[in-house]
Amino acid sequence: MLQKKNDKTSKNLISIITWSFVGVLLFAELIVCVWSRVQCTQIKYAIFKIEREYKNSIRLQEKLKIRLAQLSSPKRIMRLSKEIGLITPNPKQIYILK
Amino acid sequence: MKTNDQKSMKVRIVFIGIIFSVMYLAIGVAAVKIQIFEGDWLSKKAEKGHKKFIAGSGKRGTIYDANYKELAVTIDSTSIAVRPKLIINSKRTAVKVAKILGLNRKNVEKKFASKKNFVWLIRHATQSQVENLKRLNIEKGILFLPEHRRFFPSKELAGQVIGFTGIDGNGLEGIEYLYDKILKEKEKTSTIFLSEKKDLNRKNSDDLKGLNIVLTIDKSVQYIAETAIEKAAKEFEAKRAFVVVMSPKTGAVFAIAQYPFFDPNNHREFNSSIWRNRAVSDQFEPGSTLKTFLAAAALKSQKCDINTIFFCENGSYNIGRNRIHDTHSHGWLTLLKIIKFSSNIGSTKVIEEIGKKNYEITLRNFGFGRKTGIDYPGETKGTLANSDKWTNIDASAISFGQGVSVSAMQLAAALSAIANKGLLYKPYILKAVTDENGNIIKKTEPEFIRRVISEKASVKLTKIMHAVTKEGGTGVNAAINGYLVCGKTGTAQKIDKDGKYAKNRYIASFIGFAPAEDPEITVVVVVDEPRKQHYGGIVAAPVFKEIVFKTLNYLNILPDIKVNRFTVDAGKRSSG
Repeated sequence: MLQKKNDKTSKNLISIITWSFVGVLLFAELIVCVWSRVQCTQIKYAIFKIEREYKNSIRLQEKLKIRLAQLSSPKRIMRLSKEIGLITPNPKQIYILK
Repeated sequence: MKTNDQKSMKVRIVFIGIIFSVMYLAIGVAAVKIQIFEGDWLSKKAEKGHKKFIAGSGKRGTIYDANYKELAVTIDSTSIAVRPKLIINSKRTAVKVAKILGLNRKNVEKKFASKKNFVWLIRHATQSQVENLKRLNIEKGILFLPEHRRFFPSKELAGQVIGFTGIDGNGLEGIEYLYDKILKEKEKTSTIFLSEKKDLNRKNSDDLKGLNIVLTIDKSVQYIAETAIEKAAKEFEAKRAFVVVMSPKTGAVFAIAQYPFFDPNNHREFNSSIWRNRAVSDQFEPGSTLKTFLAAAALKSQKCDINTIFFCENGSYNIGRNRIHDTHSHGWLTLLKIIKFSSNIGSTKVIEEIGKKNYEITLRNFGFGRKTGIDYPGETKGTLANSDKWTNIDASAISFGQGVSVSAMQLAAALSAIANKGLLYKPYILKAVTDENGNIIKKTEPEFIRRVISEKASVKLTKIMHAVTKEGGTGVNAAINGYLVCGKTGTAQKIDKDGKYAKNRYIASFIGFAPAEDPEITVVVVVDEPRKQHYGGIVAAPVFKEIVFKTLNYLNILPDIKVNRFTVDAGKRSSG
């Protein structure tokens, strides 16, 4: 009788442990699932932000390229060179660097 | 009793089970019907409410010069439209909007009163217009739509070559027109969610980009040519002037300059006659520059050499009832001197010697009377009649470049053949096509057409043309200290409306190449209707000189000076 009672208690304990383990596992899974969802959303936001930054950088780069094209236009370079007294050299003034 | 209850319970459970099973089956059938059989139809129906399909072209590709410097780019701009039905207090708003956008108040009022759902107010508004309008806080009714606009950072530089686009980004002139499909890319349909409507255009356009094109045009050479031609046109009060600079070895066009200039950013502010690239599309009588090709025909015929002499009738020669003259009277002249002094009578004697057919064949071989095939729209093929129809006076006139019409591009290509040991190449402007990352998708290779004259004949012609720029020659103003240049002057009378040669309307021209030993550039200068002077040697030769000197310097082609030079060894001390 005592043996039976002991067996039953033991079975109950195993059952409690098993269920507790399953419960903890499910809870952990839930936490991991929620965490991964949150991470996923955050990464999506980060990607979106980076994409936006990338596009803005491309736009800025394009604007700078245009500005560079304007600043390096032959007309401007010629005007600036004249201002500081540069001229096309006379053939006799040319020195050859070896 | 208990057994009966249990039985009854079981029956009930089975019954409920059956009911649920039937319901689940019904749901399953409905799901299959919706998902599989009606799925597409329902999806489309749902999309109509939430999505919008937009067809649009992407950002137009960039046009670069030979050194990948931007000639035409696409920038973001904002266009402003109105939804008239949503405008509150339309008259008062119209006054404010018209003031900010610089539009006629009545026109804006009309647009506000329109029964349409959408009306454009202004396309490609300036940044300040957009900002000022936004400050009005007219939330409803005014739409700010992001668009693209073509921008030419170098303004008028190479304006006639590049051309321009219309308000919707379609190429309308020049390279923009010819390579519209490459630059624009095909239209694509984008899907957007209505919640993203604000970003609609930006989203659409950022995903699509046309291909870039790289031209053979060199911005610096173009600038040199434009500066020189502008100076000459202003100095001699010319109606217009144009220049072609080309590589004789490949046919790559370095510059096509045309004065007056126009700024493609504001092309509507200029007369449409200025938009046309006359160096390609216009034909003119070349005058004495054509004598170069007469000399080529003479050498090719082997009936005479550069030292063969011709009697030049002391300045006056009768052909039937007609009389032709030379500017200066000459007696006996060699072929070389006929070209050097540009004797019309001498040229007539040459054609009499070699025959009309020989001359015509040579001219056609050089590419006159047909299109050069350059990748540029609206090219003219010029006019060269069949020699069977030439009378003696026609043959005489054609020998000195009257009665025949050519384009500046034809002259440049033909002259390049002389400079390139007799090998004729097709001129071209498109160097390469690249994708948005700069990878080359297509590259233009120089296209050899045919051998026009022998290498020996080209050497002799080089000698003749060099003599033109030496003392006593008509092209002495083209001579450059340090470089051996070859050239030929041209002065042609223009034809009046009544078909007769005008007495005071000329075309002054100069064609040449340099350095003589190993030509790197061919230059054709044409000055249309100069007023103060009309001789090619006075008006056009100095332009050639300036362009060649500065371009060779830019290309790092050293002058050949027979003097003791300083030679500096970069690693050691200088000596000299």
